[in-house]
Amino acid sequence: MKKLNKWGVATAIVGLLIILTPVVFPVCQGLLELVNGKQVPMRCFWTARAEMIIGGLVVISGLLVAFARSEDARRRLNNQVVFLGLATILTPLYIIPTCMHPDMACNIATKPALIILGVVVTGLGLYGSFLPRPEIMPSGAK
Amino acid sequence: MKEVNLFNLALQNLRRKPYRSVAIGLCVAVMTGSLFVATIIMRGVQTSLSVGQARLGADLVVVPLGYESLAQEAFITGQPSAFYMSDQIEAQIAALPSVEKTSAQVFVQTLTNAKCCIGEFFLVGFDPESDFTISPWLSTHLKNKVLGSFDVIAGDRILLRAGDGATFYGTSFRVASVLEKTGMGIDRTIYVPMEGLRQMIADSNTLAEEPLTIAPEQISSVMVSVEPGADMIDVAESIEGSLADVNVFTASQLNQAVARQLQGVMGITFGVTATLWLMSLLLVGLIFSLIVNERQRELGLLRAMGAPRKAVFRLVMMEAGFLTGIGGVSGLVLSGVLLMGFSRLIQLRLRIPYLLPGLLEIIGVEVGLLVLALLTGALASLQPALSISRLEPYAAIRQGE
Repeated sequence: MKKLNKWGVATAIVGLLIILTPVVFPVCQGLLELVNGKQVPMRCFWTARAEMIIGGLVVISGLLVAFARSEDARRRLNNQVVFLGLATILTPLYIIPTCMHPDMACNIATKPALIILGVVVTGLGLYGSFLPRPEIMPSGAK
Repeated sequence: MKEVNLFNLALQNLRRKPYRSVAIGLCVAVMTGSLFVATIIMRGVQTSLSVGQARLGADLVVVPLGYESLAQEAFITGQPSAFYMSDQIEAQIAALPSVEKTSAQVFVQTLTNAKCCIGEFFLVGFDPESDFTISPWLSTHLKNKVLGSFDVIAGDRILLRAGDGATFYGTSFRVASVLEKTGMGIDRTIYVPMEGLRQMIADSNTLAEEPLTIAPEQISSVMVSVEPGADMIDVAESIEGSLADVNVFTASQLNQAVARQLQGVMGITFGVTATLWLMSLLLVGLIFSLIVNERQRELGLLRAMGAPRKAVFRLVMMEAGFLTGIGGVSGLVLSGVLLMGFSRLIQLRLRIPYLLPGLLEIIGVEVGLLVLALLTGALASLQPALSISRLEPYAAIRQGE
């Protein structure tokens, strides 16, 4: 059986941690009441949803890296992992920012955890993309 | 091909047994990381308390009987509290000997129905004429500009900045200034001039969803400044002796309250860290004894090829230095990232004041802990390194076969 790529496995594990972050560190639970009386979740609720989807994509990409046979495919997948890592960092900061108040649950635990995991995913992706390749020796050479 | 020198040889030896190297490095990383976190939290609490006490300005705080802990909690964490006593108490305290100045404050508990803010904040009414806690700060930061009745001063953790408008209980206020960060309850407090606060209380009957039921003659606390040279404890005892229904606490008692809160957690942290350090010392020592034993032949051959005793000694010490050094740096970096990211969570969960110490201090702690990690490695591998370097090449080769 072909040996799995350990960096791909590590990426998949970190992706799983991203999915679990909103479960371990829940975002704000309160509901906002609109002028028309309708109650809607706070915006960090959507941040958490988006991050869980990104986490899912990181898991899939990590597994594909782990099982990929060609170096080229692995490198392309790692480029994708870099973008997903950046998306993990940028989502709670700019794309779907968490709540405004710095003391709210989403800001004190969920956001820093996601940013740290995003940095780890980006690092793993970059390492996979720029990993030094073994030199291909001409046949017969020792 | 790489040049064969002690540095490369030591690195190669470590790479030969990656799992063993990682296990030792991890142990040292956990030790330095947890020591770093515990030290920075302790220093952060001390920094915050000294800044907060300077801002508090009062020597003594007088509160209604039975509300001492609640009031201390409010000053430390900014947890909104409401308790009241008669304003006659202020005059009675002012008349006591050794009391220099007094100033009353009124606490309003919650702002859940305020339009401006999400979350609970602590509203404190102060009298600009008698106040000596916030006013000196205002005189330097507002350049002696007179504070209007509806001008408020906001703490740093409140999402309001100078010039912003805010509505509390239906009354509109304007933020005149924002206090500097202290890490204490002051950061989550909004200071309102007494006249504006009394007006807000009166108007809350008609303007707010829930009216405030605070009588005009009620106050929450009296800040007391004692005369220079007077003993604070004596004055506190004299206040508690003359007035039946009050509790007095000093600024230093806030430190004791925080120390009580921290005692358990920090005790466990330091205990675990000390155990980890001892374990690292034993583990590194044991593993290096095994390594040296296992590699007797190899090290003997190195000696036979002309390597001096000193080189063999340095090789073993260098391997230990690499392991503990890399482990120490990794532990410091990881714990630093986690501490920066989750400092607010730690502060809220432990209910402690916390202000990140200065950069130089943090670097000092990091360098100190890195030296400790390296010393651990040096101490643990000293005996195995000495014993192998003392062995004659022939004996080492024979014993290692």
